[in-house]
Amino acid sequence: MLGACVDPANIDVPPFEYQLVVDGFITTEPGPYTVKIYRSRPLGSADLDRLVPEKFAKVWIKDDAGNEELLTEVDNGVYQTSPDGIQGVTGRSYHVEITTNKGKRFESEPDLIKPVGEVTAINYEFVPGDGTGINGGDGFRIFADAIGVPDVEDLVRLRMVATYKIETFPERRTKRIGENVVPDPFPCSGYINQDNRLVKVDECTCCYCWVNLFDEKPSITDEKFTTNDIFRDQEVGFISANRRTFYDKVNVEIQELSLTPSTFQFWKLVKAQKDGMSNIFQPPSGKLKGNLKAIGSDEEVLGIFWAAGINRKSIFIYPNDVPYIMQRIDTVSVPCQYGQNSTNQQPSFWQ
Amino acid sequence: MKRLLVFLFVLSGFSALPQSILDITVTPDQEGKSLISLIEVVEKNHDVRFYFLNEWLDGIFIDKDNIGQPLGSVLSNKFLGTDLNYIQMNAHSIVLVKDPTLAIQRINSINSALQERKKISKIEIGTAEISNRNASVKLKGQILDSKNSEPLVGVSVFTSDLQVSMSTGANGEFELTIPNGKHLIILNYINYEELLVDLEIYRDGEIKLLMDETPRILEEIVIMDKSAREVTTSRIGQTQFSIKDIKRQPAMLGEVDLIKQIQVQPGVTTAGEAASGFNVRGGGVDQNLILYDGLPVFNSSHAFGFFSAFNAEAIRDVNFYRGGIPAEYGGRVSSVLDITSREGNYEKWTGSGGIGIISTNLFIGGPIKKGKTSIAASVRTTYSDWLINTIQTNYIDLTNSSVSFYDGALKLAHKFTDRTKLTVSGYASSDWFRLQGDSTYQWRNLLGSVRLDHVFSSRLSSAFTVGTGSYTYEVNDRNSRTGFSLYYKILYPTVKADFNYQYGIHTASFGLQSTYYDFNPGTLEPSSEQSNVIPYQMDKQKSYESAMYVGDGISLGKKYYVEAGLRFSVFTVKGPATVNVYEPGVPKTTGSQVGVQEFKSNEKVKSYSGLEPRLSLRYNLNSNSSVKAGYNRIYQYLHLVSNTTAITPVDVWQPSNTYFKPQVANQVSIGYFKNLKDKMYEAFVEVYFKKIDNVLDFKDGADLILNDHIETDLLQGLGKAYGIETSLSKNLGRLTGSINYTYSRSQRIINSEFPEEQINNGSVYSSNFDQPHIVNLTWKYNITRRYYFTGNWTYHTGRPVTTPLSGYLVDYMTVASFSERNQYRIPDYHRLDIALILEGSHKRKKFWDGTWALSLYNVYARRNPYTVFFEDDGTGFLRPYQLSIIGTVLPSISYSFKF
Repeated sequence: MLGACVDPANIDVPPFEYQLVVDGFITTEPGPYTVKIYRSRPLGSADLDRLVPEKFAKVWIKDDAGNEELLTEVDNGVYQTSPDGIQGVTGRSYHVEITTNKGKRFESEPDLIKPVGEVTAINYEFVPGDGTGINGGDGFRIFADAIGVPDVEDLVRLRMVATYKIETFPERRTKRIGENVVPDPFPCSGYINQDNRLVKVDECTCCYCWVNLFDEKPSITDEKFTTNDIFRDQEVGFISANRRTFYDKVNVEIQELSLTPSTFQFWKLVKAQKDGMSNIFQPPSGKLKGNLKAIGSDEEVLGIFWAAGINRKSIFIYPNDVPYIMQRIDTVSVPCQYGQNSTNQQPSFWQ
Repeated sequence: MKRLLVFLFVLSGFSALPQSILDITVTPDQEGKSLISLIEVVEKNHDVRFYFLNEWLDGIFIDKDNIGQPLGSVLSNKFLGTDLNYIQMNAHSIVLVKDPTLAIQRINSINSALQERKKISKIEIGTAEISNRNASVKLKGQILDSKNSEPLVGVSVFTSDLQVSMSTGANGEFELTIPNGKHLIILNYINYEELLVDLEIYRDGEIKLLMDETPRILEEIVIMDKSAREVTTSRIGQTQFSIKDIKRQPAMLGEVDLIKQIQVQPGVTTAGEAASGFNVRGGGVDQNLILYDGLPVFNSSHAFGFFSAFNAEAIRDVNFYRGGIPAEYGGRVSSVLDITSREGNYEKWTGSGGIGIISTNLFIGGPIKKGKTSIAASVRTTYSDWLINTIQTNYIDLTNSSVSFYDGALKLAHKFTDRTKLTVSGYASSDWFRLQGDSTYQWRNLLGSVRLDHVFSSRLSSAFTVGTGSYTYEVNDRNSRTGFSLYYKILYPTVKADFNYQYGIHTASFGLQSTYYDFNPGTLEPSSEQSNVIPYQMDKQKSYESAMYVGDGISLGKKYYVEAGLRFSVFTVKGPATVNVYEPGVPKTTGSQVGVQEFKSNEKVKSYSGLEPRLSLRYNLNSNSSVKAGYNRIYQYLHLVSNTTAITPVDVWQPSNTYFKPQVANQVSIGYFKNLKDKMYEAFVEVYFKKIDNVLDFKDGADLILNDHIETDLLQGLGKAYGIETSLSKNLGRLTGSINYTYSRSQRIINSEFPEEQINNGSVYSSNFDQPHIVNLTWKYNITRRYYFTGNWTYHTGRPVTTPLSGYLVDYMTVASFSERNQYRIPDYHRLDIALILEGSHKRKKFWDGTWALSLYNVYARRNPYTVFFEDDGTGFLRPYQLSIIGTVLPSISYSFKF
């Protein structure tokens, strides 16, 4: 009747400028720690998930006690400390220093590691979806109980990392030769094509993977929902219930991370931005100010390098927690690592 | 005689003549004697001759003030405001002349009015033969509605021969001091027929005049209510609304909407298509004082902003001030919208109502005791569920939504005597809606007042009001784990005493007002035992806002009108209260809090006060043009804390306190007003500059609901707005209408020594309401006496927006990098609406009067953005989308009636 409609808004903005983005953090657990450096992408471009890495930079993590480590570029734009290298210590401040391939220098504000409380319980609740999306949007809402640190301002982020196992079928890839379709297995499948027949010659190294799923928006504590440093039923994420995520089971890990006010404010703004997307009274989101700055120029740098005390707890959610029988996983004929955040290395907690 | 005088005048010339005769002083023995007698004495004792006709000077006497004055001064004084004058022809001849221009003008005006079938009252008070000892007489008058004998307040009383205008006071009364003789007085009042008074007055007297409400259309040629009013209206920036004209405009879904009509006034904008709040000269929606029968209304919208909360059938008068705000008003810095509800008829039962596709409304009123007591009741309710269920977008699924609202008013009036009246008024509006998920929103305005009007004397009248209002909202979420009920309330009992005193050229007003505010900023409760919500009660906030004011409107001769006023307002926050204390020298954050300061019950926490001068000037260049200027300073002690551009049901009103200073606006405006082609056209241009100290804006990501550290999320700074408003109206003829164009800017500066407490690094940025170009075009074309075609076209620059410019990832989360605050703009807004109005018979005596209105809203189906929001575009990154509530042409039909 009203003809209400949604169209892309035509807002006249100036030509896009690529900006440097820094994404990394250090905790009180052993490394390695990762710092990713890349360039931001224009909105609306088709390859937003393919960010341009900042290669060949020199990246240091330093603390206020004089310790420092030069990171190694392990992938394009991905810099890592060594597993037994620098490690966060409560009460110390950490920052990152970067010199790009072109000699530009950047650094972050020092971020203090504060004492951290602990996650005391993880709860979950199955919620049916609205009928859209994968498996109708069914899934589990994840809640955590946690405690803060007495006499310390409770600026805490509860970070969810869920892990599930998937199976793919890379040996089932085929190709067309003339009018015939013949097997074309991925080498990692352990199979070869021998006279148009699949023959197993080795173990498959890309059939079973463990995929990490992260919270879609940061869950930060709110003192309004806190009594005596106890947080109860803080919602931390959502895990879709479908035949891939529940092929085996899902490990849900909740990390409690202690934050400084500036880092807390950063994640609060990220949360506000994410919340705004589903809010009918969507407030205008603002500029997301990180803690990085250029040295010797006024170039704007996006992102954050932060430090936190950490404590974690995990549980498993099993397929029989889903109130109906899940279908068998679909046949995907690609190596399992092809998905995002996927590895064929079985995590130590997986049994 | 006239020819003789002119002849003498030409013969003698009049330069360099001796003035010794005119320097003769009037002796005490002349007191009480006639002017003729004085002239005879002068002629007898001096070698001088006066030429005149005795009848001209009948009734002119020498009074005490004239003793000791030179003869020339006495003659000037006595002839002031009359058509008499004198000329000294030579040392021995004084000629008194009578200028016939005014008399001719008066006769022409009467003849013209007769031709136009205007109502003329012929009134004679006293006779020329037995006239008052003084040349001037006092005329006291009262103007009443011819049907219900209600006093009409604010009627323009224009003495055309003297070019003096004034307005009736609180009891419909006026007082004129005029020379005895013949005068033509023209009475104008919105929604009423013009009344001419052919007055012949020779002594002090009192009259009562009855004005008729305008029938729908009297003639082919329609005289718009506003015609010729702008030039002679005393204040700059004031508009009176005709409810009938509002009803004749195209209406969205057939709903007659007062606020929509405000939104097309020069200098007024709105945040979006269906936003009922409005922005005046770059001010926020909270900066408009909306009064219903004298009490403030905190939420003026229905159905999420689609419609205003006021039933047009239940409204009698609407006055809108955007500049030159009188001293009796205060507390909001941008504008005043003063709504007076209808009273019931004292003589017979009448009613009116309307049926549209969204809602239906009914007004009924009549006498409980004829001539003494009347009652009026109105109600409006909706059946709009079906409509909202038709809205379906990718953004919001509204198919299972529900919307309902109602408003109702009741008014009881009793006249104890002609001088004393008691009015009891009640108003309620309520909304309930569910849009998404399990959340329901509910809000409610409740107002009740008792007003006693008493006329102490013909000069002094008064109005005493005691009332209370409340505004509440509730949000209920029934989710099992996170369900909650959020409750918010403002309670504001108010007492007021207003006085009007008329004396000579003065129309003074003065009074006292006091309001007690009891804020409950938020009560949060879990909606079930399973809910994780911890019950939370924000500290209640108690405060008093009091003011006293005095103002005086002074007519200075034919040319000048000055209205000066002074208001003194005080705002005091009282305990019990807990005030957060922060470490000095660092930005206010929850982390920099070092303690709290406790205040006991009724202990003063913080107090603010200020003087608010007001000034309006009018200078009539001639009868067709005037220059007006205004200045006002206003303090605003309540702030709407919002990070959205339109009013939402979960906005929080925050009283000034230790951390939030009152907003202080200083505005100057000046305008030129002109009538053209015998008042067929009217044009004006007005410029203004406004500076507002302590405007509030929010930090990025501010959390405004249930925030007991709200001072850490809000910032105060400087607001400034300036603009030029132009308007051209055609008031007469088959086609009437107006076009106005406004260029205006509205900007903010929020600066601090701390970067965390700056917006856009402390530089100037556009406010949410900065819309530089605004054009409004409205018209009405009379097809026949009863059928007419109306329409309006509106355009304004797209409002500022903070938009995402690029995307990136942090900790596996996609985020957008936003621009500086309000750095860009959404697309421009423009829309054309048309309507065909079919009215019933215009016979004065008929039982039933029905009108059909056929409207087309958004004729060329423009998709104007109601809001811009940011959503995942499928790649995990935000993109801006616009939601157009009305995306197509919207036809509607409604039927209204009265009996």
